[in-house]
Amino acid sequence: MLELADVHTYYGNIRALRGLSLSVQPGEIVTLIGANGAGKTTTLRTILGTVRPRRGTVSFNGHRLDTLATDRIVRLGIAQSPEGRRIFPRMTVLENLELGAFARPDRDGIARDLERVFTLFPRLRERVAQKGGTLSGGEQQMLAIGRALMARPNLLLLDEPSMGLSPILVETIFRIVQDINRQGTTILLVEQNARMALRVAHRGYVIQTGRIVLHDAAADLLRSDLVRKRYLGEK
Amino acid sequence: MTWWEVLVQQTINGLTRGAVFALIALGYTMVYGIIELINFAHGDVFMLGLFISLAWFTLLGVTTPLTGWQLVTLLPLVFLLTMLTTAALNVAIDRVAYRPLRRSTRLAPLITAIGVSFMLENAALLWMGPAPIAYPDVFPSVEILREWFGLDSAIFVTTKDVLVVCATVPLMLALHYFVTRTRWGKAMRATAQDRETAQAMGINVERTILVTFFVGGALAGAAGLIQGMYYNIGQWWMGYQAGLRAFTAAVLGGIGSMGGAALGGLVIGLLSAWSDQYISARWTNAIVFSILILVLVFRPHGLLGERAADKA
Amino acid sequence: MGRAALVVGLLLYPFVDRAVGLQTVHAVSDGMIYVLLALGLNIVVGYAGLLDLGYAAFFAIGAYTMGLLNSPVLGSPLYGHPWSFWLCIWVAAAVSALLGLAIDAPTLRVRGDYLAIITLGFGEIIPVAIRNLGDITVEIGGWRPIERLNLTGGENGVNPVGRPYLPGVPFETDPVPWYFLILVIGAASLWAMNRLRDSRLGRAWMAIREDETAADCTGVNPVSTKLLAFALGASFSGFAGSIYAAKLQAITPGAFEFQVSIMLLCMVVLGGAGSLKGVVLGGMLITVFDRIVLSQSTFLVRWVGRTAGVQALASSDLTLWRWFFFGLGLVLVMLLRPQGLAGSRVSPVAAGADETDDPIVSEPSPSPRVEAVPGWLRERMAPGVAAPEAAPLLDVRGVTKRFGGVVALNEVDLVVPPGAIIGLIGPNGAGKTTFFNVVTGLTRPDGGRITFEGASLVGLRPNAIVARGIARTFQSIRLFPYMTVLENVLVGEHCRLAATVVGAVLRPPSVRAEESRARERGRALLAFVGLGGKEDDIARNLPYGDQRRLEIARALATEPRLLLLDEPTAGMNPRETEILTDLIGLLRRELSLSVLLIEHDMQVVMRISDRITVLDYGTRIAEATPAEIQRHPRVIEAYLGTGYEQELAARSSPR
Repeated sequence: MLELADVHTYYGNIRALRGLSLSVQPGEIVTLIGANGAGKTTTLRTILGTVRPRRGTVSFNGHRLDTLATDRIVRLGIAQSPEGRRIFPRMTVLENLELGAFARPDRDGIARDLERVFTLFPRLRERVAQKGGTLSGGEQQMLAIGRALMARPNLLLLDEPSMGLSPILVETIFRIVQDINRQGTTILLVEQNARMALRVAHRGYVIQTGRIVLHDAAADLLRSDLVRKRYLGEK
Repeated sequence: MTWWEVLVQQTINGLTRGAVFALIALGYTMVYGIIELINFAHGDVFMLGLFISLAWFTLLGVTTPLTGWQLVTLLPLVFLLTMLTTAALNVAIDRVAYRPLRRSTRLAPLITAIGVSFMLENAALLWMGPAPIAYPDVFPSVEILREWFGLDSAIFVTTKDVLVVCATVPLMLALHYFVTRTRWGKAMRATAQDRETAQAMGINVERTILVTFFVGGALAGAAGLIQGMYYNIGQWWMGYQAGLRAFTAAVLGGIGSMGGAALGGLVIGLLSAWSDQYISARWTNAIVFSILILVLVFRPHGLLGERAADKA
Repeated sequence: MGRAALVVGLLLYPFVDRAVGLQTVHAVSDGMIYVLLALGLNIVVGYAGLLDLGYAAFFAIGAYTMGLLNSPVLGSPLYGHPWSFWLCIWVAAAVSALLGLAIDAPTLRVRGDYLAIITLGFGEIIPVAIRNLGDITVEIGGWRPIERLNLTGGENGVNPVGRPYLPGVPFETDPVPWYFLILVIGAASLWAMNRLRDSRLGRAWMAIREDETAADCTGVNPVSTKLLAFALGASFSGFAGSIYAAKLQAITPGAFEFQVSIMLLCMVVLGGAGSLKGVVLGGMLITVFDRIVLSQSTFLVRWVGRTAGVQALASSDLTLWRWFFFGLGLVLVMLLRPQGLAGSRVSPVAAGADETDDPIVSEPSPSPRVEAVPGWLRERMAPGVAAPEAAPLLDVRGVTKRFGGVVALNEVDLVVPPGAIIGLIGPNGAGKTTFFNVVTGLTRPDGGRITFEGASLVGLRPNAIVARGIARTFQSIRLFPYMTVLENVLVGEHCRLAATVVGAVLRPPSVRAEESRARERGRALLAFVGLGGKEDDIARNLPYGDQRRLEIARALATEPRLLLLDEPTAGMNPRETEILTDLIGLLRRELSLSVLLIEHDMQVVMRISDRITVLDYGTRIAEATPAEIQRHPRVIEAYLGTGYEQELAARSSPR
């Protein structure tokens, strides 16, 4: 479904990705774990086209993404819940959700998906007319995921959904991520919280300094030495 | 004239003046909202709007007051043509002078904006010459109170005042509808708040900025046309003064806020008219700016501006 | 070599010009006056990052001070008492500086482009006032207490203005003495500014420019720092204005309009804001283009037209196109070199500054060592060990903060004993960061007491609280991104240094010693946190983990007794987290530094905290030891969740 092959991405002269390759199959939750600065967010930005790879290819269902404009990529069915949530602060919850569906023409489908988001996140229905900037951190995270779902994506990119959330909320969010996946959305999950991510994912990739150093079924990664030492903090 | 007639008269003058400022201020505030640029060239787009509308009238052979069906067909046509021309001009300015600097420091496009402003003024100077240009009296001027209502009042209200209201109010309502209800309007607001995320929603950010410049330019063109028909005079340097006042209006209202720009325009118009009357025209600039400073000192984000919370 | 050649060239230039008959000395001298002005503006715009669109106002004030003192206009009360030029330039500088303070003091609350528009407003008001003050009549009901008073010469300006007197040097129409006078003053200004930039004050300006809130929380007083920038900037234009008035022999209000402010701004940005070389270059380039190239090229174009027989060219007048070419030049230079002619290339701002390629994972930095604790820090902190009585260091009682209708903090109590590590946890939006902001003075509490070492902190500005001994870090790292690593730490030392403007310029031995000691301390501190060898890197280019550590080093440089850390391990991998946890423990053991810690990583909090306070919806729901907190039913319900216990078990089992 999604395929990155030997991708090199730069910021100025700084190499952020050095020959990264990964793939996502339909229906999967794939997680990308790694330290801060390893290139996780850059990978997502490269997929969405907000930065361009200098070498390598990104393809999605047979389309080459690395030359397409971001808005075109979104129209192909990729949506993102960005790191730090990035809610539009001066727009209402409803407007935020509507913007998620910006690239879609079908009004009926949008109304149905709005209902689905409200079912997943009842809190958002309560706050529908509130400005995004006044929501709490957890509610903003729900809104960010809900907004991405409004695009009815084939592939959902989640960037650090657990960041800055209390342990109890982290659990809730990950449960919902699994629900979304069961309803048929493929998910690429970037996480700092490797334990949680590997628990919900089918497969996982470990990224270090812009390269994939390990990939395997999530359950196996949980048992691997490298992951246990570096990303789970075990001795 | 009694004291209250003077007050009413100056208030009417102030409101018409303010309506023009408001139209220009909207262009400043929209561009600032979306790319955080003080578009110094915007006042000159307004000035060129005046001359361009004059050129369209000349091209259509209109030099005397329009009447009857000509009024209802030619005038809207010239509005449309002028607004399209200045909109295109504004878009071109953005493409050439600002767009290449999107990822640069904030001062760089400010300087190119100043550069473009100088170029536009100089172009107008060479095109129209240094002397004031007489703008033909294309709109029929009728004193409403005396000739229509038979009132013997010293207050002077003409059909031109009505024209200003009838042109600006629908334009502003249309803009409000555009920004809050339409796809492109929503895209504009989203882009202003968070450009990269807007992009990730499938919004074509560059096209949205283009639309913003287009709309801002169109409004400036309309303002130029109204100014020309109302005052019947135009000069190459007038964009600078009007732009300064309009920008002040945008800041006074709270830059980035459309309602603020409209309100700020009216306030500045009223203040300058009252100051001309009650203090002295030569102090008006100083007074307008003093009030601006006072407002900002006590309300640092302007009258309707939203407070950007400084989170630690 | 290059410098010597430059000096010789500058000294010989007027004589060469005369020998060749170019007659450009006048224009060049005028250009140098504008350069002097641009240098003053550079302090405000380039260093302190305050966009000033009305700088010509100070130019006017300087010129009119000179004009009115040295050649009072007829009818003014000052008439008939011309002062010496050499005295007047100092008076003009002082008056400009004072007015700079007075005018800009009300703008301190205002930020960014709002400040720009206020300065623009003053830039408009001053010429209007000068025009109108030439003819003042006040009429109150037929009584005229003031009639046709002329203070400024009005539209006609002041004419003539007295010349400087120096034995044997004719300051007449010959521009050469003027050239040398301006050259001397300009060189002295450059010298002084160069020294200012590399001083405690220059760093404070840049810190304000980069991040005002962070600077405030690092001990830099934004009010006095900004005012100093305004006053110094204005005093330079006072100098320039007075020389301008004396050289021109006459001044009119038209010479100080908005366009002049804009031209000066262009000089600063064109050259590369912040770079002295760039400002000089930009200033000279604009003047030379404006005064020399345009007029000369008209002759050239006409000559080409005549020889080629093109009538349109032969009769052209390029000076009519003056502003067009000027504008075109600005656009082209900016498009080709957005960073300015002499500006250093700063890599384009990609939002992904957090993603760099440094191998922070593959090269685990060593844990901090006891021996590496800088000796000076140990010394400075030593008195704190002698606090055996149990009096709390920080004592917060009943602090309440509301935002609109929302109660962010509701009667919160919190005590930090000396040398303790206190954890502060709670769900998002519980008010933890608000609590930090209240303690550090960023937010004023609506009620309650906050005392530190027995003295109340309520109402103090953040920088004053830093001076008392509380330092903090931020949840999202807030370094001074375009300053070097060492400079970041030196800003931290700001409030412990004493150099004044005069000291920074003249550099007496005491200031030299202070500065080199500060640098030494900064290096030692960087080595301690593991950033040795990276002193000259630009802060924003550091990898994420290093940025976190730099922020802590900067906080330590303020010599705190209490350190507030806001999610210090956020975004770190377990290895880095462990190193940081060790560092915090070490600081407490060796320096008896107290720490208040917001953290979501329960392993860290539980491991190093002596006691933990839990906030939920702004209310303290628990305060106990880590072990008690883990079993506290309300904490589990509101924050930890039931899954937490299983996770604890899962983590500890493989050990």
